[in-house]
Amino acid sequence: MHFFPHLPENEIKILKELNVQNINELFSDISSQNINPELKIPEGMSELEVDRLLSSKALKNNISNVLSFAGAGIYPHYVPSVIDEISGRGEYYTAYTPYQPEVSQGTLQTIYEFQSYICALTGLDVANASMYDGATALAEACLLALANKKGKKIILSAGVHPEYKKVIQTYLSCTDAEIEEVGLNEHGTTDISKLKTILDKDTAAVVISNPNFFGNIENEYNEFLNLKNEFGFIFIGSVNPVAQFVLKNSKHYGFDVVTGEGQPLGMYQSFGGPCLGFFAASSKYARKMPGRIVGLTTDADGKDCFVLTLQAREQHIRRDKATSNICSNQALCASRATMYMSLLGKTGMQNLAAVNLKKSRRLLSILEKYGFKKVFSAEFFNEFTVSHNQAEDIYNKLLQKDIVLGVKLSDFHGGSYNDKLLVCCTENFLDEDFERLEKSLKEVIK
Amino acid sequence: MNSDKKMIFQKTSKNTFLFENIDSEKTINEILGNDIINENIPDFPDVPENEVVRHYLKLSQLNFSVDNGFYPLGSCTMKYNPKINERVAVNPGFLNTHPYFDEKHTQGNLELMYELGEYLKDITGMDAVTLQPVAGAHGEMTGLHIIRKYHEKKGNTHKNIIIMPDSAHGTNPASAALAGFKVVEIPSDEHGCIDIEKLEKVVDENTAGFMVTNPNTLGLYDRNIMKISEIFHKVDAVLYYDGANLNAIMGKVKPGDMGFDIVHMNLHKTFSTPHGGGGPGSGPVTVKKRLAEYLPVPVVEKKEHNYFLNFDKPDSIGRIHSYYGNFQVLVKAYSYIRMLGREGLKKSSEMAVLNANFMAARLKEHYYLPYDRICMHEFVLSAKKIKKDTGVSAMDIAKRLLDYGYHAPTMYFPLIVEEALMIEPTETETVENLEKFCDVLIKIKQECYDNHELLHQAPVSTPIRRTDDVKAARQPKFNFFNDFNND
Amino acid sequence: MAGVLYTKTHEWVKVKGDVATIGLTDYAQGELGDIVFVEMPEVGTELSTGDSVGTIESVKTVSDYYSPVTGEIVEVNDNLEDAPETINEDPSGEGWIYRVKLEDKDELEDLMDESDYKQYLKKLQEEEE
Repeated sequence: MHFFPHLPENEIKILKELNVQNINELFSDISSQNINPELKIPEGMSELEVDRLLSSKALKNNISNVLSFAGAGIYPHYVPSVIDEISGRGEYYTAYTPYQPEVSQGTLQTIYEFQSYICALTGLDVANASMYDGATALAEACLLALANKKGKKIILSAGVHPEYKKVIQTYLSCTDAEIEEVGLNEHGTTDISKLKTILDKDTAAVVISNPNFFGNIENEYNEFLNLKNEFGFIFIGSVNPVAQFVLKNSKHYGFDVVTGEGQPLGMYQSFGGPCLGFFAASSKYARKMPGRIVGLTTDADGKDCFVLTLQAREQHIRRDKATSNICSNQALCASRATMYMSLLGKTGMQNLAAVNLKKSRRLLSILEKYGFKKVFSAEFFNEFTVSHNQAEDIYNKLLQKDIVLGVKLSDFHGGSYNDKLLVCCTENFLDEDFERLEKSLKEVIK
Repeated sequence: MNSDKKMIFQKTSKNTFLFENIDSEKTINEILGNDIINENIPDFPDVPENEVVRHYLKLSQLNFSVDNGFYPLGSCTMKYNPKINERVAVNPGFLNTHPYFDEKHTQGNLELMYELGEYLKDITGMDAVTLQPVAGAHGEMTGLHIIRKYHEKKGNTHKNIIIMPDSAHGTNPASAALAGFKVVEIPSDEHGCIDIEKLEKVVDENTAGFMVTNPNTLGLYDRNIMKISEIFHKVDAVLYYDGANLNAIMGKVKPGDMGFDIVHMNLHKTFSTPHGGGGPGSGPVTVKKRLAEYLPVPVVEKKEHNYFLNFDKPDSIGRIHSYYGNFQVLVKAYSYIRMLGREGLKKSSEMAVLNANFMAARLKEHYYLPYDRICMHEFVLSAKKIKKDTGVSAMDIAKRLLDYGYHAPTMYFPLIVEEALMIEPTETETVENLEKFCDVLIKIKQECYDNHELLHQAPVSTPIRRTDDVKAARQPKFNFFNDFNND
Repeated sequence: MAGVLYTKTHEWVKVKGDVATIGLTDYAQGELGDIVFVEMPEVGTELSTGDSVGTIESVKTVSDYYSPVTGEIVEVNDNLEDAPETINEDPSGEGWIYRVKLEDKDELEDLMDESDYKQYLKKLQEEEE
């Protein structure tokens, strides 16, 4: 099945008009030894056959009976039906970047609303139209710090997602940045006294995650704010957007830049992609930020309208002096997040947060009943770390019953974490799910 | 704001969408205590579902999209997005997989990714692949990091210059700078191709690589590409192929055979995955064997009938995405490639090139075609003479096209053509559509001479008129909660 | 030294005593188009000749502006923060950008006077055609 509508007579007519004998003449600049190579790709199929083929691939995943408590950056939230429906409109998903604002007000206003929501939940003045994911957004925040501070030191809390740290390392590998890590204290949050010992005038940025990778809430916001005021580094927070409706934000922590992973806002897990990176900053960095920004203006008739603005910073104008190389971002995902937050409203987001808090504590109490212990004393949002001397064995046995009890921390932090699991729970779990978990734990733990 | 209730934040609340009927504040207070709670999020309404639908539906109707009509945006390959792609990609068997699931729950995903990787290698004539980059620019950055690592490993850290033509897309120098390279641009010759003489003078032992697309951003195939690749390989520079224009050559020639070492592709261009208003896209990178060890981790590998993620690559450049790339976009590209098959892909490129030449031949009598030779899948017109004669610019012409129900072509790119209009019809348009568009462009040209004021005022029939970009940049308003303080 | 002096990068310099006032020429503002933002240096910054002082942003471009002299910045034109268009409207008067306490007055000899600058502009315009 193909999508080029010309009939043979159309082709002939055009070739004749072009005064060309056959189609290969149009490719005559390609050397004869290279032209028309053999491809090994299989022959084409009908739509019906492709539909069947892809269904069979999806079936090979074998997840129809899976009950998963895995989080670690991508969360199993419920996606309201309205979102698929509206973001599935061709006018949204088959449009391109809004270079011609006169015919792109749909995308532009939606993104302006997205930016506004991100500013609301982060407590900062300006947000961009999205970035690839939470990790690259965080990496670009570090690059912003390096470009705007004299210092070269970037201090990462050990609580930052390990994969995010790897992405930061790659992004910063061709700069002269020095990355240092500060460990966690016995509560499971950033060790502030250790942080004080490595902070100096050469520090460009300090990066924490809130909640952090282990699920713990970094609650010492006053301490952080004081350090930020004293040393003047750029303070970067990588946050969970749902948790931000409960936890204190940049106004208390003193974050200059807040980034994060927006997948919880109306996106499926989808094997980790597409994601939705968000990036917000205080107004003094508006012209230093990466990414597209939609602004409000008026048109020739004085009507309010939206347009891509501050484009002079971007790659198509500034080229090698651009703030970033980003061109396409995750616009459709940002649109989904906007619809999600409109549907829920502030009260709905707070309710969502409250239900997440409640259900994750129900999960914890079930696990504690079966010998699991909460590892850290810090408070958590909807994800926490537990240990059990048979953790690995229990995990594997539950897996055979299609229950995924979170993620094994040993996969990230090595052997000393063999007995620890990181588990999450969202609003998307009902009584029957908890009952099934309990029943299986009973069977598996003798 | 001068239109009533236009923003979603100004609508009324319904207070009904709750996940659970509990007292949220009380629950939060009880669980976390007062000290943690965030009090300074501004209010915004929970809009009734039907109002959400109406708001965003109405907004969508203000957009022009490929589903609406012809979208000849040069260098963006706005081909039709088959709906079967959309259907297969929302299979819950794909959507509900978590990236950290055990292998037993990801075999379908990994098999799809593995096969897609094989197809992309085949099309580009390369030996190894990564599907991790999520956009073209992201793929560029990945490729440049690989170039850097390659030279580092050989102890050639003095190689820090990337050469590219002056017609390169803006992401090229931006990506090169982001990867820590210096950029040197070389001019094109009078045929619109790389000036070999000038090139030979510039290439030396500090040259790390060459970034180019072929056909280039003028839509012209550079027949000297083999010679060019020799010049660079002689100094062990790495050749990078920007795959934005791959739609011209699928099944006609492989970048690997042209001499390239690294290729990035744009699945949201060549492989029909939708543009989404600006993403999500996907920018896989394929490389020749000697660069394979530097690819980002993890790579998808196969052992007998089992697929797995291989993280054991000590010389990898590291990670450039938190997971494995835009998986859902990969599914759509896979579906497209299976539907078209090898003959369909080849014919797509042939038809794309045929259509572009058809239009260029019709339009060159009326507009100036600076490089008057056979083009590939796109061509660049110049409104230079029209501007001189009538004062009407490429921008005015582009805006007038909107009045006729078309999306404008790419304007003012590449930078080396004055008053440029880059047109890429793609293979999915009928002859009637192409003829109609040419007729309209010719009519507009006449309007330039007969009634140039109309062009300056255009567009007049779109939802809004031309925007005040200066005001937007001088008095930036990008956050409702700051911009509408008093409402 | 009397009269206004000019640089090849289209800055003008007016000297009074040992303080130089610096701005962009009319040609520069025309090339940039509507200016939307001026990145201002901080008072107290030490500059050397040729240093990039900051950037000037229009809708379609961002350009660096360079210091024609060596010295310490003693004053900046704060009005440009809210009204960057002043550079378009009155580039050689109200559109001044910053003032430097000159360290080495001899440097001024390297700059062009008005007639040399006019010649230079003429040559540039001929090259464009």
